[in-house]
Amino acid sequence: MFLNPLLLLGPTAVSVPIIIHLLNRRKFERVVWAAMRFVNVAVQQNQRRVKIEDLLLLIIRCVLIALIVFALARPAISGAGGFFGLPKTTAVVLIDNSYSMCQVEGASNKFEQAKRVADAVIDALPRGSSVAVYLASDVATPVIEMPTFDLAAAREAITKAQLSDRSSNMLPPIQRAVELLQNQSAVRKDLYLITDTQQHGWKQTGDIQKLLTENQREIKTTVLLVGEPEQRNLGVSDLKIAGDLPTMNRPVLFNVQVTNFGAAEARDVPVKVSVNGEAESDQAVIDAIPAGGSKSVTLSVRFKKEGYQTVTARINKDVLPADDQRTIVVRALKQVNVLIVDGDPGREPRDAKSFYLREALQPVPPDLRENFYVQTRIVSTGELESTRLDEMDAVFLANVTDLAPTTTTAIERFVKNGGGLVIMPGATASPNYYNEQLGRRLALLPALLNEPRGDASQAARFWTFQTKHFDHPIVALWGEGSVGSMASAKFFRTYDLELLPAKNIGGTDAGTPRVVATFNDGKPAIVERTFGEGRVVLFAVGADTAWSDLPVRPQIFIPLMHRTLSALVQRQDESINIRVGQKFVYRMHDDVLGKDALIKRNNDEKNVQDSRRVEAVNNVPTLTFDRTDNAGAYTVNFGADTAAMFATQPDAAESKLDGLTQDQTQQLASASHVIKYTAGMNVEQALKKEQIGTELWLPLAIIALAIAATETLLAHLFSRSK
Amino acid sequence: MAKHATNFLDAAAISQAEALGLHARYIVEGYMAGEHKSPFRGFAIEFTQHREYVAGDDIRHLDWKVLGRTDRLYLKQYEQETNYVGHILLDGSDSMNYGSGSITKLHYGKMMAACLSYLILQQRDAVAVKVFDDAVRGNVPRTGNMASIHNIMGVLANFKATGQTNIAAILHELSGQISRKGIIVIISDFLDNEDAVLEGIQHLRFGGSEVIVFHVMDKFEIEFPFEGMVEFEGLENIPKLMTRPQEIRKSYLKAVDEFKAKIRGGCERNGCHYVLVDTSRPLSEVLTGYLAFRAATSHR
Repeated sequence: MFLNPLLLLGPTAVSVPIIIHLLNRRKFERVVWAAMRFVNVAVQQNQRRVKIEDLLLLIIRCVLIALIVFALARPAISGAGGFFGLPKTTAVVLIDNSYSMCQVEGASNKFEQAKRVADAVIDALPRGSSVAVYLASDVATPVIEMPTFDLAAAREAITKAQLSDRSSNMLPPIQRAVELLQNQSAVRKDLYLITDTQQHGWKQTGDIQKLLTENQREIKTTVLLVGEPEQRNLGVSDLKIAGDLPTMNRPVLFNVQVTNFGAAEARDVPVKVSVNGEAESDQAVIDAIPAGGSKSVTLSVRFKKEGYQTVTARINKDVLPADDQRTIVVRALKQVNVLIVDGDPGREPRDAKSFYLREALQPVPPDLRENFYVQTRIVSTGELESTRLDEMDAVFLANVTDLAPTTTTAIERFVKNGGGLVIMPGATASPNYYNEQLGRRLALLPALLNEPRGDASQAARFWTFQTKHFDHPIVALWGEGSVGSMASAKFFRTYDLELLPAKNIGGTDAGTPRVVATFNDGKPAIVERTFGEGRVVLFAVGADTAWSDLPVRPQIFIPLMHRTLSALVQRQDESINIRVGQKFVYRMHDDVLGKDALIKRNNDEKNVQDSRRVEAVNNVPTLTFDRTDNAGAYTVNFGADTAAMFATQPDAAESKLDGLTQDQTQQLASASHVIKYTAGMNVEQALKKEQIGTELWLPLAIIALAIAATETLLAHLFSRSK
Repeated sequence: MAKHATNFLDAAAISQAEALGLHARYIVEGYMAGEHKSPFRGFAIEFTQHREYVAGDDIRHLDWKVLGRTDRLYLKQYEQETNYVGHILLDGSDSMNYGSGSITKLHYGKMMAACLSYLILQQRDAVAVKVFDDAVRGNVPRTGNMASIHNIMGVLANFKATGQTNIAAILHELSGQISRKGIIVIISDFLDNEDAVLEGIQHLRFGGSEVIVFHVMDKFEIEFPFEGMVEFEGLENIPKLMTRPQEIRKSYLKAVDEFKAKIRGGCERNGCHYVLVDTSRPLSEVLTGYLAFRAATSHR
């Protein structure tokens, strides 16, 4: 290997002494001479010796030039360390800071062990080496981005390094380190990865092995494994609102999922839930969770105030504290305002197309409706034009034939800005309006209304809802089996829904339509799509009983409408619960555009605040924040006012602490040197055994110097008279 | 020609040499008309041969009879012309053309020959000068007339070295020609087969003549002071050699020393005077030194 390979063209310089020698032979004094016989005798006596001396000097000079050129090309070989001291190296140290590294072992955790090992790695680097330090999880986070010769600074940076709640995937950090080293001009390049034995981070061992093997000649990789695999770990693997509306002063249900990542069944697992870090609101005990299995409990909380609140689920602390709690942010509502647009109010209230809908949304006696958390307002199609939509959380179109262009535009803007729209087209709906205007032109509709099928007068021929595969959150309740069946509702005539593709209309994303529920023949019954910041839900039937008996089946219709409303309302808050490491992008009010928001993690002991400016993205004031490596709630403040909150949740897969498989270990060992760190191990000594390879320019230069001295001496000796 | 000729007379050398004179080491045979003692008394003046008249010859020795019959100018030569004859043999081979400074070995040798000729004539002795390489290329026959000095100068001045040397053959040839004992001065770098050269010298000595050897060498040939890469190009058709002289200096000097020692040893064994002449030294110093040494040894 040569570090200055271009200088290898230098061997042509070997011709220099030969050329000089030949030129010298051409440069001579001519003497006309009488006593030739004596010269002849002397030459004959010395000819052989002189030729040998000349040849010897020529060879020495050629070798000298070749050595100098060779030395300038900075040759390096591996496997020759020792005699000239260890060769300096350019190293990248990757320290795993995924949350599995917080596993407690003895008095400290794996991450603290890893930092100590990293310190020892730096101590073991030969004098004059440079090092870059990165924290490795599913990404490489630079601590010291480019190799520095200031090893003390590297040690200090390692001391200050922090754990994250990220998941681990060693491929991206290793790729980053390899790329960095490939761009370095150094004789010896070392990659040190200090990680735990967790299997999860090595999902792509094949790719890692390939990458390291391809670069094995250039980059020596050492994997230092700290800690032991752990067979016991329970973690809160999911926390979400149980399809309910997060409204104030009433019990709101949350599903808490606990997973047993260990190898043995876990029994009597207490689960608690609390709001805003206060005393527990509710708790339950899970009797048993099988090894590798998960169990969910539904716990209720009560929001005492309006606005952003944190909900935290906890289990008892175990070896991996990071997954023993999970926090989400919920925007508690005082009430939900729903506008029902009635396509045909009728003469009697019961005739109105909105009748069943309002009953379902406000399933309380009329005298209690005023204080109910869902407030409804019913308008006719004509009245819609003069109705302010920005006060509404959702709009239901009940058997509306069509809408005026201005109203259509207002509805489109309402949804784009985060409103919810439910369309229940009845027999009087104009498919042409829906398909052309709301479907093809605006992409609001998730599906086209094709020719209705079935006959409403034939009571014997009907379809029902699906009986299984309740994957969508709106209907997930029926998948649990505790609330009866959806299949009791009968549909005699329905629109044949044809899903539309995802689309972007003037900068607004119309998401891919999702089927919420199907009929028993597999045809879509309810379809939804996101549109901008809002969501649209389309039913295949109307809100009346002309085509189905759904509205008169309250055990289905009421929860279905509430869950639909919940899905619409929560659409606005989907972006406030993100994965750890995911970028937080949030639509802000117009009045904070250009202002700097201070973002702080709620449980940050150091109380670090980051400042981010609210900038216009597609003319929408948007706050973007990417330092979300830690799980938990974050608060966005403008001065003293809290403008928003959000929370990050870790990847539950990282909680699985199983060790590397034999195959993974073998693959890893074939492409790197694996050192299993044990307490009391002399890391420096273990590494130095591997630190072989050296740059040869110095010994070559010394040899060249010695040859130059020899040449001078010989030239002097040879030129003496003989 | 006259200009060239006078160049070879080193005024300082001559004046110093005159003071000392040139004394024959041995008693030469022949008529004692000067300061020399002859062991051969009562010898008549004998006609030996004719030779062609050359400019400067004394017309008193013209053979008028030959002139009358053939209309050609011939001189009659007599053996008792001089008290002794100094034969000066100058190596004119191509190797003598080397000179690291402004003077080549040949030029130095020519000056030396001229000076010695003058000195010999000055003390009314006879001198004969021969310049050779692998054969005699320039010849001034025996003469005792001071006026012949110009003739000698002319022969020396006109000589251009081009050929390869063969000193031994020349010495053997001359030893047959020199009938009377005298002094034979050999001026050469002796870059030839030294064994053959020494045999030639021995041959001359067998004739009874005194032989003086002036071994002329350039300073660079003696010291070999070259540095850097040098291509040596031989003067006598020897292939070129490229070398770094500093690396072979010791070997070269050793070979030169052995060569000088061999010539010197050979001369001494044959009873000849051997004088190593470094052409970077002034000629007067060389001649004065030698003649002083000679005077000292002959009076003993």
